Amino acid sequence: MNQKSFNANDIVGWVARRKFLFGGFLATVGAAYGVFASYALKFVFPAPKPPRRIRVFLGFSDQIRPGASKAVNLPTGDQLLISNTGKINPVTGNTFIAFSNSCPHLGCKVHWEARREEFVCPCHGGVFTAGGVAVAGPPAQSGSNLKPYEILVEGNSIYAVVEEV
Amino acid sequence: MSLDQKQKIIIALAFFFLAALTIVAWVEGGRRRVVKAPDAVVTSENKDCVDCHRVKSPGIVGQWEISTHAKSGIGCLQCHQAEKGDVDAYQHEGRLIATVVSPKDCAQCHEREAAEFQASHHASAGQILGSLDNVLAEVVEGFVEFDAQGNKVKPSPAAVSGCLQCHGAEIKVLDNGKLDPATWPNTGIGRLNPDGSRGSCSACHLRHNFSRAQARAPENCGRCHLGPDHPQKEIYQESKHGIAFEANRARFEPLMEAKEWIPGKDFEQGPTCSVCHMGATKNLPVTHDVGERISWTLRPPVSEKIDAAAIKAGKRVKSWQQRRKDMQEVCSSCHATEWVKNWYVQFDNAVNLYNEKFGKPATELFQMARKEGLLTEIQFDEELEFTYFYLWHHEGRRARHGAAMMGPDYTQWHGFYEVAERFYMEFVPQLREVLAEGRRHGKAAAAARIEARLNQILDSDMHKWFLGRMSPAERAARKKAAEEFKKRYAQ
Amino acid sequence: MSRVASALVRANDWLRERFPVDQQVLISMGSEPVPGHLKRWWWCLGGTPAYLFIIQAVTGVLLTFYYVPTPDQAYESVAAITNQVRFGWYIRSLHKWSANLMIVAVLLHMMRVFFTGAYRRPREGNWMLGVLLLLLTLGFGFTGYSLVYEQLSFWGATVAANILQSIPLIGPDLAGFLRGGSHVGSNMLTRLFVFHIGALPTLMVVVLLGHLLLMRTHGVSPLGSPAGPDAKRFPFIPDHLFTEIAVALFLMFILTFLAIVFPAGLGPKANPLVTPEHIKPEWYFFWAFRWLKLMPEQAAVATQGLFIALIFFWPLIDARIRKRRPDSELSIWIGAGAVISLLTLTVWESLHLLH
Repeated sequence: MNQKSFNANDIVGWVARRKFLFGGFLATVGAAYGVFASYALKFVFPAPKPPRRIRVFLGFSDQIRPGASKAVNLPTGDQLLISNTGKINPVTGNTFIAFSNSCPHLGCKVHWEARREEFVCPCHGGVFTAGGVAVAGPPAQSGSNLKPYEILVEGNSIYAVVEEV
Repeated sequence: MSLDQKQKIIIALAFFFLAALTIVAWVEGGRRRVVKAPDAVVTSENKDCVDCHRVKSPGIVGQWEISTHAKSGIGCLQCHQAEKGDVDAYQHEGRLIATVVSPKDCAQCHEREAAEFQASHHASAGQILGSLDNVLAEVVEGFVEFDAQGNKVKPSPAAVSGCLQCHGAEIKVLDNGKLDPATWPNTGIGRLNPDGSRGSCSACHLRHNFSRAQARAPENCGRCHLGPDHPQKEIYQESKHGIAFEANRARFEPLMEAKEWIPGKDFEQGPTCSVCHMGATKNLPVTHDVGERISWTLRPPVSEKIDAAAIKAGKRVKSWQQRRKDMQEVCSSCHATEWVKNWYVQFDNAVNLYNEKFGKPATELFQMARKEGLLTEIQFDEELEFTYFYLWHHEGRRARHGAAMMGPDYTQWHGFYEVAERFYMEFVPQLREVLAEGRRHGKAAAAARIEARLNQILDSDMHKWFLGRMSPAERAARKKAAEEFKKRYAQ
Repeated sequence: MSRVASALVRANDWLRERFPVDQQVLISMGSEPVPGHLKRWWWCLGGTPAYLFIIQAVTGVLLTFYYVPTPDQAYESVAAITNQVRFGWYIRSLHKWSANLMIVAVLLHMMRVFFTGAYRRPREGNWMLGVLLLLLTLGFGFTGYSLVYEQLSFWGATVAANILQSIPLIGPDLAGFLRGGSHVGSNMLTRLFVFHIGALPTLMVVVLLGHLLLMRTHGVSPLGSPAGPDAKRFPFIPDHLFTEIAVALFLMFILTFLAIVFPAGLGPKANPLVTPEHIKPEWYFFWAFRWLKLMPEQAAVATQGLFIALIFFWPLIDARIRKRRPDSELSIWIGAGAVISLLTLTVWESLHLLH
């Protein structure tokens, strides 16, 4: 070819004349780089991991007396409060309840008041029942409850069932 | 090259690139992504312990971190926390703890295992104060100081560093709350703990990672069950069971950490000690009472069935027949019925041979000599005492253990051969010397009685060859066999 | 016109209204005819390292999502990329092979320019920029490899710092600058990281732009005698562009192939307390490594500095030579000699390591 320069129409015309070939060109080159880009995206986004449930030992059942509670760190970073209500829960068959001790309002740590049989948050007066349901204070207003944890009692040992992150 | 040609080249190259990317996706899909092992969970109460000890004794923390305990957040205080009133409790960095973790502590979660273990012979291994072995360790080899009340003041180092490290010491807490160095450290399996419980779980389950694979390894039991007086480890290694295990060890070891290690199901050959003596099978549950499948006791000068002592004491225990049946259940995982049945016949015959030919006669004669005053009251001051001790305690046991665990060389050359040599070449002549000595010191009548019994024994069928009274038929048969044998070799 | 064509025209008008650049100037700049000899694929060696640099930038940014530049996490993060992150092994292997190919391409391009005399007047400046680009590329290779924090990375960096140390006058300061202190530690790793992802890329882009700008304003140098007005030419867009796209795709294919068959591995982690039995740098420093073993350190460093200066100022030296003897082919012989010597040193060193 011996042309000195192109103008826009020339290019457009050239493309139009070879639209099938040019289409194929765009498609394959686009596909190839597109696939590469998809790999790069997968690289950047961490792979979704199937959640695993693990048991975390909380204590011995004879060490958490009725009315007492104990705070335990979980591998998820959350802190759990396990309390002995003294009354057997007909559903679970034991006297223990466990909730995240983070108040859903602004994250202060709640504590278990044995006499009132309630969880109380000292920051803004949030109150939760033994079932973790908010009944007073800001959490009750927004209807946000304490996050419950499943408890497993095996012999003398109490475990929480936690989803590993 | 025209534009069209270039475009076609580009399209072709793009296809090549796409194909390569497809292979990349295939490689990526086929890769076993490394799954991160779950981390050790450090709960808030154990955090201080772990943080400090990670620096002060990093091995301890490192052991714990790889344990199954750590994955569930079971840490330092769950085992080491003490109650007020515990004799070995002390304050440490604001917490009341005890160094010694006993089966009672482990029983908080492992109740069944601890109970089975404490009912077993292992747990009573520490109660050897009155045994002959103890006399050796404390009197003959070592030296023990007693105070006016008869309490041990200074122990025998031979016992402390030797016997008791396997058998277990009685841990003493000194007045200042510290542990007596004569008794601690000690992880003997029959340890007597300050809280009254017997035994030590960490004798077999090494702290702090308590690995199942490690507990199942033959070297684990071999820490104590080895040596001239009970070479179970060596016998096992000679046996085909041991050979099979060793040949497949690399393949088995990664799998042996699993909860179940059932013969026939999880592995097809090469059982280790724990498999036969304790482990679960298809039908049997795991037991921590190592006597549950034992029919003979091969320990004493004369072997008896394992329930004989209990029966004599009027106790009801699992019968030796039932125990044998359980052990045969294990054998059947890999062996046919005839094999197992016949093997037990061989085993019984070997034990009976030892009992009848050597164990009972030697014991009878030795006790006669002692009773009649021909031996001093002092233990182990005369040669015959050592000889008799060797006979039943060393080679006598080796012969029996060798037969029990299929170690032919230990049965024969380390066993019966040495028993026979000891008996004929040392025990009999030395006994005669004792009798001669007795005659010189006015005990002629006693000596005569014992000599008569000795001659009676030697004249019996099993021993009469020694007196040159082999039957002519047998003598002829042996001569013929010897001549045939000579033809095979130049000499 | 077809629908595709009219769609393109409408798109063009839309853009032109909002970005009122004189398209004609752009297009004429972009479609300036290229001398016919550029049709030959040998002449694509300039674009190759440029494209590979883009690959490096893209894969490099991706790797930076997961790499941690501290001594206790560097190696582990590379291992995580290689073993755990999705397509991590692929991105990392691409980065490694692209690095190696880029150095090879730069060297081949340099040889092409040299042996075709394209560095001569008036293009001496561009040659010098090119030498700078070569040094930057080698710098990238060195710093990048040190970031993996394997044994060889660590000890290679230590040796490099020591070599710098022995340069007269400015040596200790240079070494201190590289190490970020008086000894090799965490400061050095941070510095190398900053060089590799910050300072060097910035310098590279600037010098590269200068190199391309000079190349465009000078025009591609004619092969042999100066070209006449009707010498064979062909348009940059689309012809040469397509050539470059073909090269790009070919490189992607080759790099992917290498990534699959020879993925980037991981040697033992750096241990500051234990020097491995055989330290060796990356292959592109073998020549220097061997040279250092042949004479005392100071002499070797001095001669190597001289060598680099010679390369840098070669157009001026060559001009001097040809002033004396206009038809001299001396530069070709000297160039060939240099190439053979460097190859010999490289092969010598690599054979030595085979034992």
